[in-house]
Amino acid sequence: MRDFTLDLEVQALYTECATALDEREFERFLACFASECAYSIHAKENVDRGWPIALVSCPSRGLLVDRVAAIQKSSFVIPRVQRRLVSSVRVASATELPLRSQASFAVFETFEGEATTFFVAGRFEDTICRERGELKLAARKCILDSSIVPNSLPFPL
Amino acid sequence: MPDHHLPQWPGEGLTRIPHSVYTDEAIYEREQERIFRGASWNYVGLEAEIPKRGDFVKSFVGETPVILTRDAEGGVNVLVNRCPHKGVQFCQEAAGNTKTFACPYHQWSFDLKGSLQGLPFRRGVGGQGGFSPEFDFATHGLDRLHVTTHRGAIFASFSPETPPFEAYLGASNLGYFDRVFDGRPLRVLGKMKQRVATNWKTLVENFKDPYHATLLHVFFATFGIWRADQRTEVRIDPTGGTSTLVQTSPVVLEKKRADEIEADIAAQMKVFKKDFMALAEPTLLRVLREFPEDEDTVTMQTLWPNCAIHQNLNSLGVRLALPRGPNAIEIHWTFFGYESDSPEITERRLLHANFFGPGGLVTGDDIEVWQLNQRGVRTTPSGVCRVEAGGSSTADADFVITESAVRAFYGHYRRVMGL
Repeated sequence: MRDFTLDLEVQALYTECATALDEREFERFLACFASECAYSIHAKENVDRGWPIALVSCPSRGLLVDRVAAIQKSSFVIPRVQRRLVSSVRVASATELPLRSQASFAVFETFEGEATTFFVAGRFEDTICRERGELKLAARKCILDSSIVPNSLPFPL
Repeated sequence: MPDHHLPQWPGEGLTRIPHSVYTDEAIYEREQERIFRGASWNYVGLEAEIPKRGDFVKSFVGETPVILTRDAEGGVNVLVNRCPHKGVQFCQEAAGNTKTFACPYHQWSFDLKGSLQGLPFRRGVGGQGGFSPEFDFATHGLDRLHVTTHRGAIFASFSPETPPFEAYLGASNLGYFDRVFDGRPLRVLGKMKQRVATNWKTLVENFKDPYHATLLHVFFATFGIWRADQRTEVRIDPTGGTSTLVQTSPVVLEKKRADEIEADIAAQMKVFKKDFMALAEPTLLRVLREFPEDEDTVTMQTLWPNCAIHQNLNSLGVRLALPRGPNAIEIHWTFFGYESDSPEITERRLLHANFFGPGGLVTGDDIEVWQLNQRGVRTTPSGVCRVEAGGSSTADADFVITESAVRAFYGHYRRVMGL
């Protein structure tokens, strides 16, 4: 019988990361990442054709910190609620760290005065390590199912 | 002669833009006919996207879906993605390599120049049915657009009357175009696409408007990209349709030590912005020099009708505002560098793409405002925009607070549209 302790721990990390963004608590979001980390969002077409451009590219923790600071201090964003559903978690190797893991995500958006709409879907491709006893994201690639995005991507996924 | 079915332009002239140009269906239809299917060079892609014989990639001219192909002789063709038989949009792949295109419905097949090659059951079955011996293959090919290429960029036109590309841009704007498209082979770095609930002209106007940049894009000031010595020039082609915004680089070049640069920025910023923040990763704003003759210059060019080219930090990109009805656009961005780029500069181009596209630290602000802009004009189609920064001039300018290029654009727009 497989020991699912680590799977549950990964699940808890994903839940924390998604709800931190839903609740716009960016310090909690940053706390999901390791001290050395990378974060990026990719459109389908670029992945299919091997093009390197990313919709969001943070190859270091500093860049992720800068993006969060830009969101908090300087970006103009139409107010909205976002709801992230993360499911179908696939932990590739549940015994060794760093471990590779994937999950599917869907994000819904609700603008003030309007009905809820579906925003984007895709998959996370993650590398997860342990720091000070807790699992952290060392690298997260968000790969969209689509090549086109509705409106803008003001927040991480 | 004004058309009584179309809204009238306000008597004040180009300092007013009627809201209806962003919302009216009849105006939208006339734009498709006179602008996108008229005497315009529509940017459709880069030659670097179809380097090999048989390569194809899909694109658009206004609403019309087209396919760019590299034929057996190495020539570039722009074909309408619509079978002449029943109108099926036959090509479903975004890109690929092929010798022929076949329509899935009745298997009519076409070569890379759009000529009809094959027609199953041409003679019918068992001597019955089929096509007449007079059936003319030559008049049953795909619709082919006029094509011009300039230093790796491909433009298409439905009209044989479109002036040569060099004359179409005008001398000063051709110079800014050639600054980026300098003849070096290009390398595609990737694409970004987004659908935005706004009118296509809103994107074009935004690129012609230096007035909004320091006010909307708080990022510039918050992170110290704003420079007291920033210089702005607006250069407009003789028709008014095309223009370039030229600014001294608002970033700091890697010609000083990092600590000197940070001290410089901090000193400047303390003067006017109390909440100035230092970046955790300064390379986000650090430029590798690549245009030695005018190293401090960034350019943002709009090409009539709906194309914009940016050369900003180390990012090079071209974007199209593709109309999808009066109230929506798709923005298709193509990011590129040069084949000869070092790994370091490619890395910087990828990093600086963070400012652009759907997740752009700067363009994200624009996209949000354009939606609010469209919401406003839709609810008051009889209203007008007031475009008076810099007076009523439609001429070149050497200062920031001006909308002269926007007025010049609408001068050309009115002539083409007959409004």
